[in-house]
Amino acid sequence: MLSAVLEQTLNGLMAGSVYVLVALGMVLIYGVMHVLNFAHGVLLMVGAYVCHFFFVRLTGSYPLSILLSAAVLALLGIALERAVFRPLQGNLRNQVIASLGLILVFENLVIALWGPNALQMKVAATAALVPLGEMRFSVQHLLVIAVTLAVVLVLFSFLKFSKFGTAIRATSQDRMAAMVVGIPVERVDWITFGLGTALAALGGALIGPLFIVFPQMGDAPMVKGLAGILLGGMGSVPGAVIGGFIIGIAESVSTVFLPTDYRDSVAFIVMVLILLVWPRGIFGVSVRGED
Amino acid sequence: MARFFGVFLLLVACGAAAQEKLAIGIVTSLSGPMAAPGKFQMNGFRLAEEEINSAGGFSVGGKKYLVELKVYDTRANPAEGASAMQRLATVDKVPVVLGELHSGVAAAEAPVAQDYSIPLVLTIPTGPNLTEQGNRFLFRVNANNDQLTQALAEFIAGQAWTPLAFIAWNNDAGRGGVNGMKKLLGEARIGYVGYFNVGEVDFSSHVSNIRAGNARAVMLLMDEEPGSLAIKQIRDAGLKTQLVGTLAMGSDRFLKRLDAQRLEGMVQYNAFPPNAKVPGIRVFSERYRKKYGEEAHGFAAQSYDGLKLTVAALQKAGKIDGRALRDALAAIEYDGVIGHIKFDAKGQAHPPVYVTQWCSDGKRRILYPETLKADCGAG
Amino acid sequence: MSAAVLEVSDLGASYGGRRILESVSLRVGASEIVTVIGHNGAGKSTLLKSVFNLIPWRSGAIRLQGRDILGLAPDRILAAGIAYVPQSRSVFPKLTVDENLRMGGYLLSDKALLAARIEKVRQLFPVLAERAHQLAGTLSGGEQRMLEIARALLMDPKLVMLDEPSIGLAPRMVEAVFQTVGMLRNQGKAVLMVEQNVRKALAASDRAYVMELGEIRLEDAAPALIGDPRVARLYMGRR
Repeated sequence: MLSAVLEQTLNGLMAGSVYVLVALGMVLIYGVMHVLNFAHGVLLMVGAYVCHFFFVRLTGSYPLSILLSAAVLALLGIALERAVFRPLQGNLRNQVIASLGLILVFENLVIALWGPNALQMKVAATAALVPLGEMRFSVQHLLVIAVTLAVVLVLFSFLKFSKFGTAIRATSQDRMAAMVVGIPVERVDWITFGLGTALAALGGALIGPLFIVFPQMGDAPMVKGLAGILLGGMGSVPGAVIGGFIIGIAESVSTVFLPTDYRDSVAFIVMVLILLVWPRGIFGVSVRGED
Repeated sequence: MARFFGVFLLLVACGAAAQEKLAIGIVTSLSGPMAAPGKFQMNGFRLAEEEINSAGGFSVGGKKYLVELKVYDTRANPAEGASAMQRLATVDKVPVVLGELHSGVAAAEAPVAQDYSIPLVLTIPTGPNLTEQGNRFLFRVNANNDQLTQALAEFIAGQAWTPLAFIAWNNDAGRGGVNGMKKLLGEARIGYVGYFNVGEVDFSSHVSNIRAGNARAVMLLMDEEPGSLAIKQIRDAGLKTQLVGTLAMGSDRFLKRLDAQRLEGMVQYNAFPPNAKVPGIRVFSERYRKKYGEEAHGFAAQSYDGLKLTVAALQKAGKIDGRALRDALAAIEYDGVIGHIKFDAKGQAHPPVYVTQWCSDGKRRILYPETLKADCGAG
Repeated sequence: MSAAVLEVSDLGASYGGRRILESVSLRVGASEIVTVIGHNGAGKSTLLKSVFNLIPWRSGAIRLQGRDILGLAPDRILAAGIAYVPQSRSVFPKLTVDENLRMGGYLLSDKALLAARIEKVRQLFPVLAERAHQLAGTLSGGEQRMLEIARALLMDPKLVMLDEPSIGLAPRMVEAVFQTVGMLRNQGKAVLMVEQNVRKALAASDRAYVMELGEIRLEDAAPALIGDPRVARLYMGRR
């Protein structure tokens, strides 16, 4: 039983890593722009396709393809901020509708470009298997967890210690005050948006080789990532990390004790229970964007 | 020279046009999520059409006809299916419709066939309920899920593969399959059961639970795509468990997604072993490979048989009429590529069901039925 | 009359289609403390926001030491020499006091200069040095106001605009805030302030304007206005 729980925890850590990457991007964007970008899951999916394109068609180098995919998606995110979200600034309802519309646009665009069938992305270097007691994990599994942890670390240091990172935090705490001290808030907006979409692309590029690349691959990570955000505390960056991992581990470990039919509900039951104890989530930030 | 050639073409065209064509309705998936299996279905129909027409067509009531297929793309969408049936019955006025892949779409098409009294001959959908609705105009050439499960259960009952675990689609096919096996084998022999939703690709928690439950075998009730992912994840996690698969996992196409090493030893039920040393199968497989350059697929064989036996029934009926054709279909006995086909009172045929197993070299052997048992390369 | 630091002429402003400022003209001289008083809704806060380009529609002219700044973005206005402390609390509550100060110098690329200026405001506001690593949101209301003013000094502005600096503070802190305003003048800054606490504000100021319904009604030296019966009416009802 203990080893089963341990094994499921590792599985959950892996699944949770992807939720964390999605949640981090969403929560950063929400912080500075007060937009819940529901299209974040499809951006993960587009990131996976772009990474597949660079890897299979152009470069043949997986690390390079990951970086290129993150860069391309950052540019896409910046374009979206400019063209869609900035003109709708201050109108939460229209921003939500726009982000839902983007889901349809990108899913159909990807189907038009790559077809409806799933793509495979075989990365020989990370397909090797690492024994861990009785269990075995592919290098890719461990890579997903390691890269996510590294990204979390780098992102935290950036937000905590760099001038621009501090400005991002400042802007999400008080936009008016940020303008008053001379922070270029519009630049903060588009850089944060680009950063957020790059994180989503990273998630897609990392799970692509593990499974398959297909048009709906971002749906579950988006929903679970959002649950992680709510659980961790809306608007809180550490909350998004803790929340994403909790959701991943909870749904994985639950299958040891409960029929798998409940797997998806477990994530949300855990979320509701935690919100009952801490109504503002674990890292309770006051709920914003409702004024 | 050019003029002479043109005249020649004209003559050929006139010659062909001189013979009347009989339109036969086809419903299939040319696009959408089932486009890939839809291609196999059309390959089977086209092969049969070509064969019938190149032999000069067929005669009904003393009149010669060539086959002309009226194809509609139903895109795995029930509404599209029902409207295609409507069009075929009222605009194209065909005497019979064949095909379909998706059980849900077939369920929407069948009542329309009944309303207009034209037979609908299914060649791929496996939902058992389709032939339980008392629809006298519905016929199914292929074995349904109950028949497939029955055969597999009979085979597994003779093996020491318990507890038997499952990873299954969280839908009718998956849940139906698990419940069917439970009924046939008894709850006691069933181990961990894990369901997953369409779009899920991470099976790691199922794999861990199968390991923890010490299952001797795991049955994968799913399609090609998730099937290949599940097998990869099971083998990569170091599980040596016996694998049991479905129809979709016993073809060369499937082998392309994985590799022989991961597949070795896996068994699956199969409606059509393309390499079996059965004369009918061998002839069909060779002709199929010649025309399409790949291994013959069961869906193609079933559809090929469907069209051939429908034409045979038309000849027996003696006139171009849906009701007369229905009666002829109900009575017909036909030896096809997939085996002996005779519809029961519900319109369900009972072709043989095979269990095949992957060998280490990426070939397959036949394990069941006992009478057709054959070694690697024959499955 | 010394050269004006700020010269506003004929300034009009609208917000949401509603005219809020009507042809306002005022000036602030070097090292001068100027207060704008008036009823709620007279347009005092809008006046400061208009100067800092936070109101979308404006007309007229705004000059900083003779240079037209009407069209500049807020961060450029700040760089040009006007700092603005809004009425609502504007510290970053989840940043430390130090981080808040560093953000005040966001536009400075010279790290050594920033460090020197932070050191200087720490000397002016010793409490901020003590609380350097505390989150700004945990400071008392008065300390937060001090932090806001201190943060506004990081760009070494020529003019500091304060919107209701004493509002919501305990009486002891109100005194401290007006002392700070005086200290700003000693540091060579000009101050343009909007206040409801008319008596104390006038006592701390050199000159004052009285606003009503978006227009300047009166301008005089602050001590003169304290005794003016028209001004008395403004604050008699309040305090």
